[in-house]
Amino acid sequence: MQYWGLITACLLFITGCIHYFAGGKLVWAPMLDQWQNVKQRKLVKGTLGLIWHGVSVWFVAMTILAIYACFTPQIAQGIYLTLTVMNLAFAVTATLYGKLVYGRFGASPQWLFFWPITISAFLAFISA
Amino acid sequence: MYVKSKWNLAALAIMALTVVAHAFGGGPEIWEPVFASGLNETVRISMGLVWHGLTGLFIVMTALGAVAYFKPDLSAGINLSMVLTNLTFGLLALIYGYVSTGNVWVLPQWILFLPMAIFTFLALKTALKHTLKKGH
Repeated sequence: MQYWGLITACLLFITGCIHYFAGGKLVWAPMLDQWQNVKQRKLVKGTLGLIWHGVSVWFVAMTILAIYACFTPQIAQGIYLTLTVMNLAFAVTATLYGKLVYGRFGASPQWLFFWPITISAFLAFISA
Repeated sequence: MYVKSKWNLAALAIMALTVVAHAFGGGPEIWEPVFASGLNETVRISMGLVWHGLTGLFIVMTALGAVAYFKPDLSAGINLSMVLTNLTFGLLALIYGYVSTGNVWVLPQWILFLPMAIFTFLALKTALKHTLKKGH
């Protein structure tokens, strides 16, 4: 059994829930409120909705992949490598974005979620 | 003998195009109005992270296309992950575009993601033959 794979799946699912429920309330709802009162092209409004909800569904897809890889050792390495580098992209962005644009790491604390996912996915990759 | 799948290169090329469209087309048109808006800082920072994080994700997916092409042992796993990721964004663009605007052409991003899902699926089929052969 791939324990690191299961841990990765749990972390992905928890982060996805936080994005959907807490992020939906604190970020997406105010965004919708403000944007509905502003004259803006449908492409702009729609694309922002797409990327927000796209990330929610992407977390579900990654959770499914992490669980599936636990039971398919023949292809597990490729899946965990993909999960590692995909989440690394967000971990690096979250770490640098708050510091470079707003002058403090705490401005974008999402790196606290993405680094553990990246590390556990990497451990799953090397133990697959 | 492992046959490299040209479909990986096709998906890689479209993903590189997506990176350019997202960063240079979407940046000024979509992201900058949010950045310059009066929305509170938490909202702008979180949306900024999603926007720039996706740029990074698309760059990584382009690189993964190359890894899948050159590394036969990793190819099936990478391609399966790419099929699911591309399907996620492609179908959502189609459904969300239709539901939120009543027209699938307002959000044409699915035109990029759905072909990538098909190309990576075709590459997955080739890679699985290699994996199954190796398993026997």
